Amino acid sequence: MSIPREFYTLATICIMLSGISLGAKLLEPTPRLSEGRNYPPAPPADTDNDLVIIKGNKAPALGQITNLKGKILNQDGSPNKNVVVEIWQSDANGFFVNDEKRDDKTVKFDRNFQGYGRCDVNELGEYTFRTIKPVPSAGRAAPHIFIRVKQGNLELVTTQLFVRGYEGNKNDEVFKGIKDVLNRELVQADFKVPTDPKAEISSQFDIVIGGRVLDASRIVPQESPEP
Amino acid sequence: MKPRSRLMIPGGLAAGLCVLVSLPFVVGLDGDIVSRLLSFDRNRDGALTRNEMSDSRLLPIFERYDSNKDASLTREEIIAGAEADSPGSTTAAPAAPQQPATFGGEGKPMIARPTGIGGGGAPSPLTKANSPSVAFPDGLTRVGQVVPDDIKESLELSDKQKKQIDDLEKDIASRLDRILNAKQAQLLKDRINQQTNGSKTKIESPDLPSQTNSPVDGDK
Repeated sequence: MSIPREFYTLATICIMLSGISLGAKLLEPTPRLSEGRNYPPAPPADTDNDLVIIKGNKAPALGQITNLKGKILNQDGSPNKNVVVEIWQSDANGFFVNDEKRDDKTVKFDRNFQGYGRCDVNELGEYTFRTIKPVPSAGRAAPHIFIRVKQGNLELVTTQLFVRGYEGNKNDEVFKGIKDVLNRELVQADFKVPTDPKAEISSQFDIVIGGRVLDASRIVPQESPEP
Repeated sequence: MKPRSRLMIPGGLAAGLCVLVSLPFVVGLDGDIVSRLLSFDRNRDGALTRNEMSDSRLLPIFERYDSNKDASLTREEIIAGAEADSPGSTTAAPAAPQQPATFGGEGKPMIARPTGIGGGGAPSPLTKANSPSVAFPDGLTRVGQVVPDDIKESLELSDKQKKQIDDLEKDIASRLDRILNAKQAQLLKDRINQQTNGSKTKIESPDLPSQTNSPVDGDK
């Protein structure tokens, strides 16, 4: 019996569909996590990707200077271009830039830490920040950096970056709330301390976009405590 | 044969092929950890090799779960690894090392005492509560053992449960072997043998990290 021509047509379509399916499973999406309550209600005066030096200041921020870099990718491994990466985190003393006690002179804010920064990715989907190694902040046992990826007004993902292997992670309510072992893996990164004490820490954190996106223009700061 | 029915046979074959090829990936999108990891198994031979793991962010978990270090993960290795990684596990995940459990009123750590047994650090029948120093739990006779043999007997375990505990202990022993250097591993074996052979010498606490709280938790 000769194989009808239609078989080849349908088989070709199926192989193409299977190829899409195969391509879609190269990378696991980065889990969405709470944005907390410390997203700045208004951007600070300096919003560049160097959080260690605020424009006009001479003194750098306190803390262990860290070069955080990574890629924004789609699940098929392709770079996600034309997106903006935002990060915000506490200073070396555990205070966020929007803390209500910021005007209290008795509280030890690091006023040389920018606390928030943005970075446009390049053609390869790469971003980079110069910041400090995160420390535990009020109510949180785990050091963490909040990260949001936006495309225009679309929020592609908001997540939190944790220090891999930090003892306090398992006492942190947000980290503990990630029940899935794979998802826990996807929100941790190494913070490699160089042997040269003068050199800066480096960390690589790739973010994979998957699932639904939100309209970022609707995002309002949360009133309730995190998580 | 009519043209329409001629199309149905190859169409059905092709659709079946399509489903067969896509199914593992569709299932893996939002399934349990086994199916999610095995969805990276491109040749679908039931084992995930290091080369097939296309998501480099998951390589740390791959390395942890690959207990026999053959650069390939089987379903059994994934299940064992996931059990060890899960909260309340009796083994520690290297990526986020568990602190030693504390027992008794002194808060002293017990060596070789896995967490998760005995209900959240309450004094255990396996331990010497209020001991001023650290002692190896009574009844444990080999590295990786989590339930003493005499207690196993009293629990009237089923064959399946016995096998599961045996597998767990083998896994712990294997992991400890990777964590400790040769000198430490030998020291641990010596201490266990010492106790097993009748000596009840207390073991002084090694330099284990103490339980610390976040310096800023709820303090602002």
